[in-house]
Amino acid sequence: MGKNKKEGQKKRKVMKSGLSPVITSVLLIALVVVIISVIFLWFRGMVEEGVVKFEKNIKLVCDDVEFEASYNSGTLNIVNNGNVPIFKINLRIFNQGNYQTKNIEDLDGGNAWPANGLGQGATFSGNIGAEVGSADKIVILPILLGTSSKGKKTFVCEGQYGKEITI
Amino acid sequence: MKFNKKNFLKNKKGLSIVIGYVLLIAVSVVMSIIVYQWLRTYVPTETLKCDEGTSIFIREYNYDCVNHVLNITVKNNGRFSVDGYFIHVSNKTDEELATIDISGNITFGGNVSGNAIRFSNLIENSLTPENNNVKLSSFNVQDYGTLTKLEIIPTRIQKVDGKNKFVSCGDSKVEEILTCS
Repeated sequence: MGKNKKEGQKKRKVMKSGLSPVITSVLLIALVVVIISVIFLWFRGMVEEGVVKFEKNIKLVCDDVEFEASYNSGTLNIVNNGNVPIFKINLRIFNQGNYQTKNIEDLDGGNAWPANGLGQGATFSGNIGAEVGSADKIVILPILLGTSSKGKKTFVCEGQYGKEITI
Repeated sequence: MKFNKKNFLKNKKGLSIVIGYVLLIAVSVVMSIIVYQWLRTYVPTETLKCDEGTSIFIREYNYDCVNHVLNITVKNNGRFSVDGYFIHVSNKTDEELATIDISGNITFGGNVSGNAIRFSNLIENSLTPENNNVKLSSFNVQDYGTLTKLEIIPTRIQKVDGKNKFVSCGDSKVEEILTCS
C-alpha cells in the first residue's frame, strides 16, 4: 500500500509541468489578436474615413476648387473656372444672424443642376429667389465627389472654401 | 566538415531566433506600408493648373444682331500655346457672369470637345504665340436674344506625370462687352 502511494506521488510530480509551450504560445497569440481587433474596431469608429480624389485627401482638393458665382434678382449663376469638378453645392442662407444650409438640388431652381456636377468650364443658372427671400447673404459651399473604402462618397468643403455673396 | 541535416534541425534555439527576427521585420514592414498608404494622401501634390503666362485676347469681334451671328478672332499674347477655349455669353445687361455656353453653336473655326472649343483635333495647343497666328470662329446665336457680354477661358493640353491632361486656365479669362455691328 505504502509503495503504491509513493509511486502515485512520483507520477503527480512528473505531471507538474503544466500547459505545453505550444498551447501557451497559441493562447498568447490568440489573446493578442483579439485585443488588437477590439482596439482597432473601437479606434476606427473615432477616426474619420479618408475620402480621396485625384490620389490625395479630398480636404486638400477643396483648395484647388475655382469657381465664380453671382446672385442677381433671384438668379444664382455659377461658372466653374477651375479643373476640379463641383459635384453639387450647399447654400448657407443667412437671415438676421441665423442661417440654414440647403442643398442646391433641394431648391426649386436647382433642377437645372447637372446630374454629374459642374465639370471644367461648365455653368449653372437657376432661380432660387423663393428660398433666399430677404436673406442678407449667401455662402456657396462646393461639394466634391471622392472615393473611400466604401465606394463613392461626397465631401462638403469647409467654410473657408465657400464663396460669399452679399445680397 | 560534412553538413548534417539531422543535427541542424535539432538546433531549435537558433531557428526560433531567426523566426523571431523575420516576424519582427515582417510586422514592421506591414505596419510601415499601412501608415505610408494612409499618410500619402495627406501630402499636398502639384495642382493641375495652367502654366503661368498663358494668355489670349479677343483681337476682333463682329456681332450681327440681325442674323444672330457672332464672329470672334482670338490671338495668343502669352508665352505658351493654347489648345482652345470655353465660351460663355450673357443676354442680360446687369448680369455679372456670363453663363450661356455657346460652344455647341459653332459653325466654323473649331471643333466642339465636351463644352470647350478646340482649334484642332489633330494638333495639340495649335494657337501658338507667333505674331501672325490668329483663330477666327463663328457662332450661330439666334436662340439667345441680344447678347451683351462675352467671356472666354483659354484651355491647354499639358503633360502631367507623363499623361496629357486638359487644363482650364481660369486665371486668364477675358471679357468683352458686346454691341451690335
